[in-house]
Amino acid sequence: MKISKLLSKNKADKPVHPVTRTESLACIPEKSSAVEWSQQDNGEIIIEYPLQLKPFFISLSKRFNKGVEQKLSKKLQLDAIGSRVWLMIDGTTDVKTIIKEMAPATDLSLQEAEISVTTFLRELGRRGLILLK
Amino acid sequence: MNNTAPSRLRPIAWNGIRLNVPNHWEAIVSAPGHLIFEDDFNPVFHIRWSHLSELRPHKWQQQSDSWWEKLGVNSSPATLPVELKPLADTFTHLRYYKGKDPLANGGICYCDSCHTLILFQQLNHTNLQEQETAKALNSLSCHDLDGSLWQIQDISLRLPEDHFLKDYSFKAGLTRISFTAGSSNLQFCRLSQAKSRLAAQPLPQILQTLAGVKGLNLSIDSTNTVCTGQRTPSVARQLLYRMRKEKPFIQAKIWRPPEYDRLLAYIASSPHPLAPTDLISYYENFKIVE
Repeated sequence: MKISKLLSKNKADKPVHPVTRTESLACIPEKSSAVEWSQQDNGEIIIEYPLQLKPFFISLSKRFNKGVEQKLSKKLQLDAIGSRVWLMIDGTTDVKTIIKEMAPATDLSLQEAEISVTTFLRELGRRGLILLK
Repeated sequence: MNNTAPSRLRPIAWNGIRLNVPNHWEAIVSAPGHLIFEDDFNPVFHIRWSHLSELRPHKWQQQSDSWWEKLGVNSSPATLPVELKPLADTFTHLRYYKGKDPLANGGICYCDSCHTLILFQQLNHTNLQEQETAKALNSLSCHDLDGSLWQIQDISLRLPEDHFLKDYSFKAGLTRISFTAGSSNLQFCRLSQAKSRLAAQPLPQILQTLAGVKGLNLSIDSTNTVCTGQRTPSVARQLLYRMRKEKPFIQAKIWRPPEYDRLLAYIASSPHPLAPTDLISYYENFKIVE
């Protein structure tokens, strides 16, 4: 047996450090003020957010629009689960609470709900739709 | 969860290791030989294990001290606490370590029967967690006489000893565990939210997607809850599959256990026809447990 393998620290060792994990789950997501959203009749959420373009593309857009600066935005439609999470983002509920409430609601285990919610929040953060405090 | 009352226990079995943990704890598979147990998202303890080809009993203390040192935990050898005494009955070699920080407590044990070396580290934050960890560790066993049991999340699977873990993934709503048995490959899947999945896709289509191969002969039973798929190619076709480095024979099954909103499936592939008794055993021994 390779003892070094047994004792080696792999990437998956990260959750062993309780502080880091606790801290990340204690983060409170908050919707960005630049974002506009609406709820459809079927309960699904549509988010409209401004596109962050480089100055070159902004000037190009101005040329095509006869010098008028247009507000460029993108729309994102969330599915039922995503919409549920979005509605729970109120600036006071932490990630842990969202996971705990999502697990029974979606019939997923806590571990599965954690993967699902954190991946979703990461994606929202990447697009600048939420802030974590 | 920081209640004062001890909780109901449930068994966790993974890759040769078995123990009972409180029902509300989550067992996280971090590596094939590494389990982390969490209570309310906080790690409570973790165990790592591996098979050791040879242990020199006279060098046990020296060896275990050096292994423990490699973990980078600041603790030194200490007397085994009273609450962990039952561990000494199970394991012939046991060494306990204690540090100034309670998170540095843990130990190394070795089983003479199956040559398994186990490291555990306690990460308890409350007295109750400490008691429950001791109970869990005392229930630790590393060899099963009745085949190997795999019990994680809400699934339970019993397989013969000659099935070895190949791969696994725990994604949201889909758990996959793959094994090798001789030249055959075997994959077990558990899907959650069966109702909404079946509203979007029929069972045969889900099985086809899970199997990831074309040309399966699919049949569904009259209750629409069990679907089987098989590929038993002609000799010429077998040659073709072998040239493509694919296993020609495939047997797959997907079913929805009554009373659970889950789907269970297995996909077995082999260079030879699969034994029907094995397939029956896979179906009967793969279950949802609460």
